[in-house]
Amino acid sequence: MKNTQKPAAVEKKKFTFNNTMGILLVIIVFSLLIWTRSKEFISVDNFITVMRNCSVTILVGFGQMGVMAGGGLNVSIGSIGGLAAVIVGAIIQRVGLPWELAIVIALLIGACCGAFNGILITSLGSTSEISWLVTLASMSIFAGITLTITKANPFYNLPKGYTWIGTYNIFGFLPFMIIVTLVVAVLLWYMFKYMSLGQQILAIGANQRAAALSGINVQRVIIIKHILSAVIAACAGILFSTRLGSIHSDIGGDWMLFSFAAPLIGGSRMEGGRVNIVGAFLGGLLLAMVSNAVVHLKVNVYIVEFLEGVIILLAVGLDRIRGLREEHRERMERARI
Amino acid sequence: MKKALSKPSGNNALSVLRKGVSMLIKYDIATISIIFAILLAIFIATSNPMRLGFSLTSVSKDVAIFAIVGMAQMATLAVGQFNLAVGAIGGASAMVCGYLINLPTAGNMDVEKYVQAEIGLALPWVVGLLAGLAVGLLLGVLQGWLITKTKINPFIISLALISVIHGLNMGITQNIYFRKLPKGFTDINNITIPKATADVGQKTTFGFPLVFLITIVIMLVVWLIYNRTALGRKMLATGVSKRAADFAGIDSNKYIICAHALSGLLCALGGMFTASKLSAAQTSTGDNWLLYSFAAPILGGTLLNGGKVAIIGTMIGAGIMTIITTVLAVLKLDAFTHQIFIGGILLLAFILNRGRESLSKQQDRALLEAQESADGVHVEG
Amino acid sequence: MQKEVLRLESVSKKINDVKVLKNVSMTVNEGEIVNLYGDEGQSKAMIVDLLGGVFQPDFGKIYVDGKEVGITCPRDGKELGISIIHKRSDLIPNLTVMENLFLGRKDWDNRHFIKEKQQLARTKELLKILGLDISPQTMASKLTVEQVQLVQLGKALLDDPKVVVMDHTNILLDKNQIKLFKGVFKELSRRKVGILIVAQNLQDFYDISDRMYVIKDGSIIGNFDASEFDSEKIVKIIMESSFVKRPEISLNDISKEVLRVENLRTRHALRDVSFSVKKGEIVSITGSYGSRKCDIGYAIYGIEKLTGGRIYLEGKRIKIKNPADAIKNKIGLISFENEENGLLNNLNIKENISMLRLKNLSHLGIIKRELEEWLLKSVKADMQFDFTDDLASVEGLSTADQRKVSIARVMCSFPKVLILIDPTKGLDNESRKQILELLVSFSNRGVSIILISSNIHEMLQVSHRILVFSNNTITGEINENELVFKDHLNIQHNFI
Repeated sequence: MKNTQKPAAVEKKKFTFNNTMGILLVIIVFSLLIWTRSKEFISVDNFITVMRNCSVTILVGFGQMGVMAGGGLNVSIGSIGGLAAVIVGAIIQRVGLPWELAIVIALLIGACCGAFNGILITSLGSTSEISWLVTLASMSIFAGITLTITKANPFYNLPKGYTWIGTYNIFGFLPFMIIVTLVVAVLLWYMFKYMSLGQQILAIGANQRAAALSGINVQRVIIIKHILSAVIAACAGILFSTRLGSIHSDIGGDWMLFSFAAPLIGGSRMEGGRVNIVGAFLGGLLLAMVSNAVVHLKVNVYIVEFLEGVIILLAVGLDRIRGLREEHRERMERARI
Repeated sequence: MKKALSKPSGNNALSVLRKGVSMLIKYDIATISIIFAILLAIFIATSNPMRLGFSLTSVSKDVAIFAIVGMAQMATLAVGQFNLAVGAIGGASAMVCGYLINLPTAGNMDVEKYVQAEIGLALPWVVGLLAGLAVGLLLGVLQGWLITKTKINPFIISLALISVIHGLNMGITQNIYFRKLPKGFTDINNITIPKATADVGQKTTFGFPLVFLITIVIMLVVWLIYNRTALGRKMLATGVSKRAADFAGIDSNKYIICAHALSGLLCALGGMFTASKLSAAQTSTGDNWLLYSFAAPILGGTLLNGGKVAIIGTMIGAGIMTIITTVLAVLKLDAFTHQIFIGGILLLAFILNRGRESLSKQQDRALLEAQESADGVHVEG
Repeated sequence: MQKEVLRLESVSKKINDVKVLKNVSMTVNEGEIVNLYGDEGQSKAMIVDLLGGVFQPDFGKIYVDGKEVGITCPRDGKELGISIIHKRSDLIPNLTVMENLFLGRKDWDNRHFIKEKQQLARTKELLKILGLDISPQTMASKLTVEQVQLVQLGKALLDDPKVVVMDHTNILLDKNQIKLFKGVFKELSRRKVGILIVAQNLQDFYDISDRMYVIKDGSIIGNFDASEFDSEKIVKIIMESSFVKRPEISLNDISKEVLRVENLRTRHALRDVSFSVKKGEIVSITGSYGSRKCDIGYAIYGIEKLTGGRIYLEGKRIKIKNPADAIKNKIGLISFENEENGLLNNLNIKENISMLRLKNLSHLGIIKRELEEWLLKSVKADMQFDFTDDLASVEGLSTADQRKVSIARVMCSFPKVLILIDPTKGLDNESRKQILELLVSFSNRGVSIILISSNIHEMLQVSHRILVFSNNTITGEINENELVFKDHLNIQHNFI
């Protein structure tokens, strides 16, 4: 194991290099391994496919990560995504407005969903168990609204401009979708590193009591973070539908599980206080690669779900061991003084 | 510098409202029983009298399953944890049981959505039942052991286990359907006491389904465990505060594993009841259990943080959920509106629940704060 | 006439039937350094909490700058100009010192973005004033206890306060550390900031204090000007309360050794702890707040993992991996920190007491009610407890009653060794006496007691021996013959 005794001045709380390097290593090794079995794995076409797949996965992960950073969680992320997509469809087809406007409206409605979650959670006490239950309930409510709008009929025949987003490749090999994800990634990175909001979210995640005593308006920050998460989720839902060419009510149905996977694998802490954006990105990429590899290797497609669970456990387990070692080292240092 | 003057306490309208709410909250079992009774009355009133007997019978069968699933979650809530894998464990047990008792058929397969299984060991259904229960128990123990041993956030472990168990289930069974289940097994769902009739054209009668009666028995056993045994008492103690339980000399890890084991066992039972009801074991069993598994206990008065279980309340909660779902269907409301209602009810139930919690813990909290500021955190000294 | 900055007038506060503050009046003037000293009890902490908005007084008023104020939340206090430095770390561990200092300060953030350059400059300035030789980028998690307090002081300074309240009851400082604080306080005083130091230890700041209040059992029993300071006199006033009769057993060498620990070592707190306890002996272990002496108890009881050392019970080696093991070996522990008293809030008195004997009270797994009732009766008679309602939930009990239930529970398993951590914390005088008398009666019956406490007062009253724990090991021992109450002051300073 690498020895990681860093000087205090350089150590940043947000990027734990071990994690990021670790995942990168795993990705490289994995790619090579699969490539030896199936040559098409490393090819331009496959690259495009994987990039498209992971763009949504990572975005969903970001949505969850934002909330986790503050010590909460949001399981309604899938249904918010589905709702947003369906609203776009409904506005385009039933109301007749241009798709650009539809996207804006859908994002706004996503924000409302986030506000709903945030307000309920903060008025009930702001702990993570409360977040779980409130968003579990709201997941159902938003899904119900989604179904009511679509009445189980998907929206077809989406405008060309809309589907372009999901199908265009810059320079022929870089899908536009991943650019969207990258932009969000950069914005999030900026927020957590340079903006006071980001710092406040992390502070609340680390020690809610101390944050409150420092004068942070905890309730307001929690509501804002839920709104952000919901908007990102809406974004993901819309992005996903631009690729499909149709919008159906199932979008987001299985998102709950992997919304946690990418950030956790990437090193963000469940309890809050630490995020790793690059890590979450790579984590989402890894998961997309695994699903993709399964198709190439023609193995049992259900194994992906199993592997997802195992990878989460391994990643979090390793993270915990590392955390324990750090804690131990710190206490020893302090005890000696 | 701003001045802050002391505010007068006790706003009239607010305090009256608060008193009303606190009265509502205190009589928790009474409140939900009343709600249940009202809903039942609405149901009976809006049903076709010819089909009423049949409807009630089928409703009680659903209530039984929801109650079992609700108790499964309640078992882990008792120690202050969540079992997110309820559906996955239920599904896995159902499939194992299904495989063991399925009658293998040769030849035609139904070419529809699911692949009908040609395989099966055709063992006696009792064997399948016991095997299913064993699977549930083992998976529960696994979950509990992982949580206590690795000290990784229990939420993450439970979440990851959903994928692991469900993935394995799907992967091994390849999503097939076991449809040729022996009569003894499906009878569990079909037998009613007294025998209910459902003949077309004649007035249907009601009979207590066997599943419902079994569930009542289980409820009694569970009640006994939590109220009269050391096991139950120690589990509840662990739920109130793991630290306090540790200091009191209770091996909290052991009891957390027990709680998860019990939960897994009940999930398995729920899975097999479902298989009996559908006359088929399928991997989708348990997919929608998560919400209902929380709704029933919380409606019933079980606390999220642990230490208190409401067994009869969970049953009544399951009853409320089932009737609402059925009433919505009868009122011909969009099937999709169900989801909105169910979610809304869970929220309301939870808000009430928080009200209960905060009333009982208000004094505790004040004491806690006073002591915390006096003592400081133990870690430092 | 000095200008008053902070005044409490006839403040009273009751928590759970205990009168924590009785008609307390105090004043702090501009630029004055006032010491609040009191031995034990929740009174000092309550004053800090009242000023911090955690609680509101039942009676009485608080004045800032001569005007009456109400403090209902922490931010109120801040806005009024009262800065409180809590003894618990309010720093966010994974943020740097600089980030902690400026967390949540709107005027230091340019709209939404952090003004890093300005913050860095100001941080360096502050660190200089505080005398801290650390980089602004140091992680808060890496700071030592007194560095944390100083950084918190820095946060308070940024608030430009009128009065600084320093909750110092948890730190025993060495001379250098005290010098640092004195420097900052003098500077603050120069800037006409009033300072209220709530102290556990009499001597730390008394040479820079202008005045001292002494509080005992909720009332102010002394208000001394600097010229009147006489530590012996003050200590005498504090100690003047009913003494519990010293344990009657005068141990001679023939008395059996019951417990012996050798070279105990844990991961974080114990380096090499060895001592032994005789039958019926009461041994106290004291040490400064940061010394983690409680871990000795935790290690023996199985809560903390032992990485080295041996435990012998009546000569035989035993291994203890968790509290259940300890109880089997007839070792009991009661800690009076929150949650560590082993009280289970969802259960009633009867159920809490019977918790450890359930196996004997059950038949085929089911607990027999009559047996439980019988156990409760015997315990109550034995310890002369009386509870008005045995089926009452323990949540609603007074602190003293809760302690009694904990003790009853542990005694049900007939321990040979009883470890107690801070048993009289937060109790009023009468209850304190009761508990100490109970301990003495246990000792007379042959139960060996290890009393781990920061309260010198109670230790001196009932111990046969006192051990001093510092630097992760036992550094001193005071025998029965040497125990005089004057040692109250000496013990802590001589052995550290």
